[in-house]
Amino acid sequence: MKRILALMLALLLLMGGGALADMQSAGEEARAQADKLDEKERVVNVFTWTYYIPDEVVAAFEDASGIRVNYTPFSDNESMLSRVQSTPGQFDLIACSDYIIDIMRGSDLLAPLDRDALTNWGNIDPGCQSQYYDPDNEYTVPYTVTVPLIVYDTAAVSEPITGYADLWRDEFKGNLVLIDDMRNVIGMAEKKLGLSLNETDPSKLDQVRAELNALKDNVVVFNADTPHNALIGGDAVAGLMFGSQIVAAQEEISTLEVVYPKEGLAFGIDCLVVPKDAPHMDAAQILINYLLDGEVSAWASALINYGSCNTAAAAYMSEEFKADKSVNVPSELLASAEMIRPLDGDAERLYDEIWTEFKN
Amino acid sequence: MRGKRGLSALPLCLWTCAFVFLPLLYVLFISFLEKGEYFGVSRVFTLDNYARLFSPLYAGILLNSLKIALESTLLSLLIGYPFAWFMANKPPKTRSLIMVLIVIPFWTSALMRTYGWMILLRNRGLINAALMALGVIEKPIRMLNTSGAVLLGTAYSMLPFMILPIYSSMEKLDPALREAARDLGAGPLRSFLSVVLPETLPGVMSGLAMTFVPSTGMFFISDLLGGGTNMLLGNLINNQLTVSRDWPFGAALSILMVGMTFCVMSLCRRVGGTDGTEVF
Repeated sequence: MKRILALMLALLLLMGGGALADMQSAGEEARAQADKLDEKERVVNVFTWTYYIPDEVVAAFEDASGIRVNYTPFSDNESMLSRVQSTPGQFDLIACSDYIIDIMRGSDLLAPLDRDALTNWGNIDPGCQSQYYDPDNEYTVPYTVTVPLIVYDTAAVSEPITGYADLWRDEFKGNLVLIDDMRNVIGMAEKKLGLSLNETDPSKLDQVRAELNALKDNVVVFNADTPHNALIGGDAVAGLMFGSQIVAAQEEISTLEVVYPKEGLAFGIDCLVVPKDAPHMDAAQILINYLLDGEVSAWASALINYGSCNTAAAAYMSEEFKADKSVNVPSELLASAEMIRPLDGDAERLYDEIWTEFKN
Repeated sequence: MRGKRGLSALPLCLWTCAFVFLPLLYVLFISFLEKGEYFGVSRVFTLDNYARLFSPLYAGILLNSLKIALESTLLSLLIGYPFAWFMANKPPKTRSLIMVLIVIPFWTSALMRTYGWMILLRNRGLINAALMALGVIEKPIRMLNTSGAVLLGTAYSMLPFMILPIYSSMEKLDPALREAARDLGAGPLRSFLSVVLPETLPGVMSGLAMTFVPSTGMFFISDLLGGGTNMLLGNLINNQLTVSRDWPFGAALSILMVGMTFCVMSLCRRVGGTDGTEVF
């Protein structure tokens, strides 16, 4: 027993030591880059969701590089955009979602990135790149893949769930929790009907409206930030939510099962961007480069439980983390997943009305 | 004398102008514009936002909001009036103690208190757990994510704004009036109906105005306690400003809400002879 313990301890030390050494290499590179900057330029003002770039990672970066990080959290993409538009020159690095990046680029709010400064550029998964919001990869570094998945309590359900259509079953009357996300929830009904997530044909959208009205009585909770609490509190037995939220629910309830809906997945990408008026552009890119390091990326992913857009990260991820269905969606499924895109004015209003009707 | 008075009112006028009147004017202005291509507004005049208000979809939401606001206001009145009466009939020391007990919980964030209700009400919550442990029920009762929970949460949040004006009008009530009513042969009910109720009506009206209007806008209570399945006017405005990024329509909805507020205020003034602020 003692020997096994000692062996494990040694292994741990070895792993820990190895990790430290490598994290050191990312840190050393950041330090070398930071040394070229003036003292007063060694600041990065980060703007993103709470803990989206984990505190531990930020602290390690500050220690290694000597660059001070000021972290301002926002609650949602829209409030971020309002603030960036109304008070220019406040932020250097923003992590936010695909569709809002499209708006920012269209409004000429983003600075092109300096590829020479981003030595870890090659680590980015090409599958996450060249999306509609940045076809030539000039402005964005993909940070995470976000995929809404079905989760259900196997102890409370008669037969297994395999797709979105199962959520329409009578047994889920008053028992579903959905993320409070217009496009992803409407998307479920679209996928059930075999339509695109970006359908704009009004007659087809009428079918979607009817599908959603049939689902209405099953939904007991809509929640954007903490849908897992409905599962934990016993108020719902199944639902649709993001992987990190499912992980949070699974920590409390062991009988939860994750499903990759057979009708197909929706996915989004959150990226790191630098605003055009950023006062510390160079320091911001040093932090981006640090986050692109395979090991740092693996570390951050494990802390926030989001899928990674970094091909170098896999080597540093634990087998347990890699096997977590909620966080790491198989790449062949991701390849066939559909991304939600912005709509034109008429379709946008139709979606809004369908959503308002569904939620009322 | 007149000039002096005008001068002392200047800060209030400036404040009201800068933080109430101008922003409202801005909202009114935006409500006549078109939604911007990417974000915000584009400077094209339109009445479309107001035309949309008449669609049955939004009328339904408006009615639902008014219903919940009315119900929760009445619930607050039902609890608040006897409570204020009970309080006004206590010795001064006890009164101030009760006052402190009413006010202290409201020093914490409304969001926090709503989360507290969630912990109590949910299926695996304290109330259900206690009832099941006592053997009163076998399966948890659904309390959270119902319209009843929204009603409870709204009435709870509004209660102090109902109690305080009513209490204030009761405190002003001269005990001699009640004695006189008794001397003239009125029983307790008659004395209440002919003396106490009319004298405290301004307080009641003020309480109604102060609870009814905010009740229609408390979107987070409907989101947290109702599970977001009861869309109220406040939720709709919030959605338009965030998810849908349709500021002009959100502004038109806000103007509608301001209009409703005016109606309620003037109704209260007519019935109770007060504009709802006089009591303080």
